[in-house]
Amino acid sequence: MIYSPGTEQFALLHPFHLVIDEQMVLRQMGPAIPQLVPGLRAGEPFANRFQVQRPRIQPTYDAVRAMQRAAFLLECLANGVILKGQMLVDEPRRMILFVGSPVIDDRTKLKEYGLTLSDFPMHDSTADLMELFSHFDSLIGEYGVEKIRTIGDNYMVVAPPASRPCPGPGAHGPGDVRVYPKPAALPKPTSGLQDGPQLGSGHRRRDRPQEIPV
Amino acid sequence: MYGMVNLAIEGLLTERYGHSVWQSIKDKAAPGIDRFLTMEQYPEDVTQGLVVAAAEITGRPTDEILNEIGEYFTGYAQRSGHGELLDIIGSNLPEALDNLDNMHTRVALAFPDLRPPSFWCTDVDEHSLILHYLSERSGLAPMIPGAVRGLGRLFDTEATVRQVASREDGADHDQFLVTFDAKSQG
Repeated sequence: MIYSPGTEQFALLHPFHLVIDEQMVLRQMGPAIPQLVPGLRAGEPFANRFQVQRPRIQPTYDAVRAMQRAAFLLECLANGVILKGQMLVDEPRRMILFVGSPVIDDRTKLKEYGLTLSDFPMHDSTADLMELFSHFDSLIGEYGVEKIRTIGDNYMVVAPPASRPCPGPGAHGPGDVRVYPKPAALPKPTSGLQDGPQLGSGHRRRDRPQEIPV
Repeated sequence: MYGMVNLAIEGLLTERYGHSVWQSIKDKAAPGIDRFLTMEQYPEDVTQGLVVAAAEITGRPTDEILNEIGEYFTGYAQRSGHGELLDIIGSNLPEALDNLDNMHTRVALAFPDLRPPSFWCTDVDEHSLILHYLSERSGLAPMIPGAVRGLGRLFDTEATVRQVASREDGADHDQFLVTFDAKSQG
C-alpha cells in the first residue's frame, strides 16, 4: 500500500484515539478525548485516567504487545464510559496506538459525557444505533410495552400478558421499526414468552425467554 | 456466574447419569433453587458446589468432571442461542482459539455483569500453540482441555491438550499446550 493519511486526517478519522509510550504515559489523544476525560493532558500516566477492563491484563507495554489480537475495553475512570477498540504496537517507535470509540447506546447520555453526535466519525456505527434506539423509545409508549434494556445492539421490551388486543391487519406492528432507517438495516425482531413471575418495576427478571423469530 | 454454566452442568450430568442422579446432585448443592435460568446470576459457590456434589455422588474426581463439563460446554453454547457467535469465531481451531478473547469481550459488552476469562495464544506453529488462560475465578482450569477439544469438534479437529503451567503451582496464570492436525488449518 502506498497511501496513509496525514496527522490531521488521522485525528478526524479517529477522534477517540490514544498514543501511549513504552512507560505507559499518554503522548497524544484524539480531539474528542478531552471532552470525555476533562482535564486530561499529554504527559499523564495512562493508568491515572483509564483502566483496561478487557482483556484481563495489567496495562504494560509488553502485556499489550502480547494481546494485539484482542478487542480492548478501556474504562474512563472519570465517568465509567467504556471505549472499545484495538491496540497496535509500533515496535520501532516503542509506542502503543489505541483506536476505538465509546460504547454508548443511549443518546440522552451523550450530553452527560460531554459529547455530541458530531464527535463520532461518520464510519462509526454508534451514532446510527443511538438514533435508532431513540426512535424505538418514542414508539414503545404507543404499544403499552416496557423497555427493559438494550443489550449490545439488541433492544429489549416486554409486554404483560394480554395487555391489549392484538392489532389487526394493517395496524402498527413490527413493521413500524422495519421502515427505519433504511431497508439495508432491517432489524430482526425476535419474541418470546416468559412463564416466570410477572414483571414489575421493582423486581425485574432478566431470564432471556425462548427466542422465536417473528 | 450466569446460570448458563450451571445449565450446561445440568445438561451433561442428566445426559450421562439420568435425571434422578442430577436431582440428588442439585438437591445437595443448591437445595433452594428450583431450576436454573440462563440469564440469572448465581453465587460462584453454587457452580463449585454442583461439581463437588457430582464428584461425591458419582465417585469420580472433580477435575475429570470439570474436564467433561468443558467438553460439553461448546456444544451446549451452540444449541442454546450462541451458535451464530460460534459460527463466526474462526475457520479452524487455532483461529478460533485466537478469537476466543475477542468473543468473550463482545459478550461482556452485552452483559456487563459477566466477568469472563481472558485467553491468548503464543508459540503458534502448524501443529501446536500455547493457550494462555486467565480468570478471576479459581479452580475452573480443568475445564479448559475439554473446552478446547469441544471447540475442535466444531472444525472436525482432534486436539490434545496438556497443561504446562498452573496457577495452583505458583505460575502467574494457567497455560496449555494444544496440539492438532495440520489439515485442520485448511
